[in-house]
Amino acid sequence: MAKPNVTEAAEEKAELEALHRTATEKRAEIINAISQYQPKPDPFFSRRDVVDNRYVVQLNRPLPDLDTQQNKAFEVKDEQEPDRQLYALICARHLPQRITVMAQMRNIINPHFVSPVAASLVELSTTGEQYFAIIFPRPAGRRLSALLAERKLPIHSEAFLRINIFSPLASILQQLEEMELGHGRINLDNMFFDNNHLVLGECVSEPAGYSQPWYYEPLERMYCEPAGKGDSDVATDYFALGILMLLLQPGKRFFVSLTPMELGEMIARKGTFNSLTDDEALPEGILDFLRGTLHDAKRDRWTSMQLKSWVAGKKFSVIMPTLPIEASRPYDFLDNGYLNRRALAHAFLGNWEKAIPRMRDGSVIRWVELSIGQKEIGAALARVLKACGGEKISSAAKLNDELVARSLNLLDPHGPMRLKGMSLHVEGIGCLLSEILHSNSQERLLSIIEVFEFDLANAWADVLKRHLDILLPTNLSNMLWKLDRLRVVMRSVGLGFGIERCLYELNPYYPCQSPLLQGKHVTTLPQLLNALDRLAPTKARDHEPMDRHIAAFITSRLNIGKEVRIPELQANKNLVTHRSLVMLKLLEQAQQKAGYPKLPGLSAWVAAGLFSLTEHLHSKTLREQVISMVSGYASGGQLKPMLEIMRSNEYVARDKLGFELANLKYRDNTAALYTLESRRVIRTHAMQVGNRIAYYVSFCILSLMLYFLFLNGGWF
Amino acid sequence: MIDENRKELNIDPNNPLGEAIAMAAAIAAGFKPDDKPISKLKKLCLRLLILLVSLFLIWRLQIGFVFVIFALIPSLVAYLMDTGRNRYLFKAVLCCNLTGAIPFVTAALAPNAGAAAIQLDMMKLTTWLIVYGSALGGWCIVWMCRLFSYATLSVTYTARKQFLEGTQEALVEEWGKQVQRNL
Repeated sequence: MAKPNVTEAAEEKAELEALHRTATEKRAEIINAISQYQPKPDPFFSRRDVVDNRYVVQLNRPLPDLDTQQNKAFEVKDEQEPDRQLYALICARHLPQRITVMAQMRNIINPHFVSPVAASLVELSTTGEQYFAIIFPRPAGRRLSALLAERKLPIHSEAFLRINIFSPLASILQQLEEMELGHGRINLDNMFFDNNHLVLGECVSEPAGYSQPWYYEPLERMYCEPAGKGDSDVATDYFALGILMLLLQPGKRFFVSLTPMELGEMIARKGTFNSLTDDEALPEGILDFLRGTLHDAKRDRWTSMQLKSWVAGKKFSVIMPTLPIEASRPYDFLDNGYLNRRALAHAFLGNWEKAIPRMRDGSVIRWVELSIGQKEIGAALARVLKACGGEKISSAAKLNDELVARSLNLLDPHGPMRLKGMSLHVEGIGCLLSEILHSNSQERLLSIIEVFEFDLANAWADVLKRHLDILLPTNLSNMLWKLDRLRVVMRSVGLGFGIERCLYELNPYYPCQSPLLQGKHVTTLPQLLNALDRLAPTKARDHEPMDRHIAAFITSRLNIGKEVRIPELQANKNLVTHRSLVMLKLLEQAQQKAGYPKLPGLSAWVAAGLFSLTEHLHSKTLREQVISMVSGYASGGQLKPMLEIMRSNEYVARDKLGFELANLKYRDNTAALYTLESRRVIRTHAMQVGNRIAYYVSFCILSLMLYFLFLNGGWF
Repeated sequence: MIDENRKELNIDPNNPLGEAIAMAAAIAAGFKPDDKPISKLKKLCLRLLILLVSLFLIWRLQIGFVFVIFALIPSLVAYLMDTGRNRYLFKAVLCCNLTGAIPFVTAALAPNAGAAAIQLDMMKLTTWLIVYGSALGGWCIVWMCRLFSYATLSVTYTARKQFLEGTQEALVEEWGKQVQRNL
């Protein structure tokens, strides 16, 4: 075999270009065909602006008073009961809604609560975009905050507060407590008051506590990322009632103007009640209420039982909360002495870099063991220190961050998981991730990745189990198991894995965030396939039918645990993980799961991307055969036969054998042509043949002569 | 033909693969290997026959056997010239040479003729003209047949070349230029 030279390399390049050109031409042909494709109208969106085929969203009648931080409100006309006063919240697509909570809250029947009436996808006539819409009864009156600002409420009257404000809230919270649900948005802005009738606003259109002002939250949620607070419970709502009571009292509330970190430090040092009331002279009944609801320990906080009694006028003698002091000697940090672990943890969180040497020098461990007497916690802190590099100051920022993050968990086990510049609860990882990916903030994304890398969730749960003997609820255990699995998933770079996969695993009802699906609200596989089929005529020319979001969405819904490969094509390593083939396989599995709906647009779109794959086949005929078969199946709208062709070894084997035979034949023919072109060879051959003919001719002459001589009796 | 191919394609004679290629090229060009070589027994029989015939002629023609020797000189020359395995050139010349010589020899072998008859013929110029003329005719036949073969083979080779070139183009068209590079 001759060595390749420059000319051959150029020829090879030209040939590849020609092949690519052919594939591109074929692709252009099929894309032109796709652009003619007209999908059937989607029966689900047969009526625009209509929810549940009954509630018509009046887009020309917005209700800005009922807007939430992220969602827009509009009037709604009920076609079956036109007199019903309803409104719709059109939910932002980048934040998950509380779908499971919503289903349960629909069963709450309470005149003081806006239970969701209906919820579904809606296509808006103004933009043609799809959104998730929730229909609620429209609360009468104005926001409590506005009335308070206008001083139109008799807040000096304790009876007014008991009967008109807290009695309705107590009835709602009792129902929520029975259903083990949290509201998460009990605040002045989310209450509507009209004619002595209070209505508590909705809480399901956004993650729990997302738009709740931070000062309504207990310390463990106060400085968390709004989207990372995790699900709310009713104890948190009772705490919010306490804050509400404080805000309804005459006078200015200093804590409203503080930052979460400032108020947090104050509460960690002195406790919530002591920090917020600040020895203020309040009526005894109100003080009882505040002592009961603003208790720092969840289990000691008031419940509906005490609240109902208080509303009914019962007098309580709640013990004044003591200062949270654990240590016999303070721990000095930045000119402050700290007497409990929680306060110190809070101080370390606010001064992350300065906390690192303190964690490394072992002074915290000694303080915990000697001054607080918590030898177990001290030993656990020592283990963390050893695991993160020991007492020597490390230059590895990650190791330092891990040390501080895990140590803060041990110092304040009731608090959230804390990282440099970010605090969150285990249940809030999904929502926070959705917000971070939407905002495209790389710095915050790296922080949340550290939660997975440091295995902070398990460390946090371990502290609860080992040191506080807290039995984790089932949903939290499931979440930890899921996070364990996602740590591996996140590291994988294959299509359908990575951080996007974590997003959809942690938010099961979250719509696909692919830029391709802009304007569409896709939460299920059939919806995704349908949307892609409809997008094919407009997007096929410039886009692939799948990006990382769509792939992650599909693998999440299909619960695929291993990187998608085409093992049948093991012989050609490039093809085993080829993007187009993986894409085809994922979409085929999605189509199978959806019950094989016909998808001519999507199939043709996928087929257009597959043509370049035929370039690895040497045989032009085979290439054309494969292309024609794929095109044929694409027009039928089924991806399965396309996948079967592409992963079939038959074509590859036929091509390989044929190519080898062609090589041999070409070589033989070339040698033969050399011979045929040589004059000397022709001459030699002609001489040999001529001699033989001459011999036969001469022999005939001799025979004739002998015949005449002997048989005819004479020669002459 | 194979030797020619070997030279033409610069093939090392010690390389068995090269030998096979040379043979394949010759066969692909329409060449058929020569007939099987004459066996040793056959050669022995042939030599024995020549010896017996010679002895018989010496006995019958006596001094006239010299005529046979002189008459077959052109065949001897052809024998020395033709080094091919089957010596078709020699055979062709020999046949023609014999066509001219046999009538004179048979006349001398007649029952009432004798060695004197052939000696008489040897004296005539026409006898030698006929004997050598027929040998020359043999050479002419060889030359004409070679010419005819050359013309015929040229046409055949051109057609075959065109066919092979077409096949090569079809191979490149079907399998790409890579088949050219794998030579």
